[in-house]
Amino acid sequence: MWHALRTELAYFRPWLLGGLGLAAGVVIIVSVVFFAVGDDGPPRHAAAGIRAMFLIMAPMIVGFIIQGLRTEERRARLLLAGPLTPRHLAVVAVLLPAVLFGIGVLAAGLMIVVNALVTGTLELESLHIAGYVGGMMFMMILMGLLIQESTAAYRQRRRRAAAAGWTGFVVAVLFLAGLTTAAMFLQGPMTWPSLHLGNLIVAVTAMVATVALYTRRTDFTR
Amino acid sequence: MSDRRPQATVAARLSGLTKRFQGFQLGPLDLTLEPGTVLALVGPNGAGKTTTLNCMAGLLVPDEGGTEVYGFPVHPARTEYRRDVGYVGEESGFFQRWTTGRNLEYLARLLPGWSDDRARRLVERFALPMDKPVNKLSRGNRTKLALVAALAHGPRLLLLDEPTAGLDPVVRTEVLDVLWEVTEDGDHAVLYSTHVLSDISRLADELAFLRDGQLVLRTGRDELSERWRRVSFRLRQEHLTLTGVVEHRQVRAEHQVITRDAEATLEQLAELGAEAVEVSRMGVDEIAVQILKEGHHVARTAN
Repeated sequence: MWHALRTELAYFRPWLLGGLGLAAGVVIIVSVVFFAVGDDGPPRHAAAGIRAMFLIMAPMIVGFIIQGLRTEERRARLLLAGPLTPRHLAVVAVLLPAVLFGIGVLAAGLMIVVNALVTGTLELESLHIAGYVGGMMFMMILMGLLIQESTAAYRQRRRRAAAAGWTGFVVAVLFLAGLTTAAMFLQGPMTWPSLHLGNLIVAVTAMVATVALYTRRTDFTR
Repeated sequence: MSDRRPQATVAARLSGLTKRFQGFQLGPLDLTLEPGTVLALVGPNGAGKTTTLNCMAGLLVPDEGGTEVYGFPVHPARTEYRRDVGYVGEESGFFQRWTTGRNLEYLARLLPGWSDDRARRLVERFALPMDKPVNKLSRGNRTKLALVAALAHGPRLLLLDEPTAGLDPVVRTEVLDVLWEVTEDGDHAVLYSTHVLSDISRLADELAFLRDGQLVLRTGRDELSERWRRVSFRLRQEHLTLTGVVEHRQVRAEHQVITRDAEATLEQLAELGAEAVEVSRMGVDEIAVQILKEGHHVARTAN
């Protein structure tokens, strides 16, 4: 399974590097602009936030592309010829965006550290904002997978599984909406940790549900 | 995946295999395939050939019944049977932007039993370009790549879904040559679906006719061609009913019939005093067309 995951990452490396390269270009341009305008420009945390955002968003956009390409190339047909089970395949599918999100967070974190070394200010708030936005994109990819599996279950006449998947999606959206709204009203030191924890709970639940639905598939031809 | 490769008298067994889709039901199918047998699954589009093969490859879970390959049950969650299955379908799931060579390198690590030597010989035999991305390969080369991937891990059962469909005559011959060589050793059992009927006579020992999801006839190729004949004769008689005849054309006293029971038909014609009787053999592909055209009745009484 890990071999399959590594292979997928190697296969999509050009997209990932391309995305990160573009984001790095934006980071450099934004840095130059902000350096040129100095203190007359927008606040420093905004500059750091924009740069971190691009670094997290780039792998996530690549994640959307990867989902499309993997479906188009019908990878399951190849992998099911070997020693992998549907559970392995499903875990690979949900871990791919997780790894990309991790790479994005790492890149943004590094940028914030470098920024702190240069400016002397650690813009943690910016990393939180960028992480939250990136996390939302990560969530969208996972929700996409969950909906895809729920729809597949419906087509395969596994109506209860489909209903459970769609219900899970609606509950997750409502939970995230409620959490975000609550965070806006109850601002405090625990706001960001709560938001990130909420995202994490929903992400892990969506991953587990997707794996469960995929494992019970009756059709691996698509 | 287990490395055990038990000897078995049955390569594949379908027991009451049933798969339902909206407006279509495959089966229940009961079928056994002995080692060394090449069985052609013949049927029109939508007959259930691909569904049968997908169930046997573990890509579809049947609603009822099941399949065994060399004694191992076939199911997507099970892996024991996969060592013995080589599958060539319409889509193979290759990494489209990687080269042929890189895809084969990946498969060499993925599939237990993979033989680099066997893969190399097949690649050379097919003159398959190793440095071209899969999405830049012609349809013929993609089929060849799928065949290399299906054969290089030494499976004992080959499942081929329309392997020659859409190929030009040269590539088709190349593919058929390799399949013929592979099956000649008598170790491989092959189940292949086709509606290119001319392929049947080249490869198949046996034929299974599938129509509307039902197996309507399974018969030996030679057996079939022994009994079916095209007969022309002269006889001045209206409303002629002949035993075994599935197609009858008449212009005045001249008749041309196709019979599934040549012996009985000729006997009857002799009794009726038919003149200028000429009997010609029919190709297996022609017989297959008749069976598929005439449907269940002809098929059930054809053997």
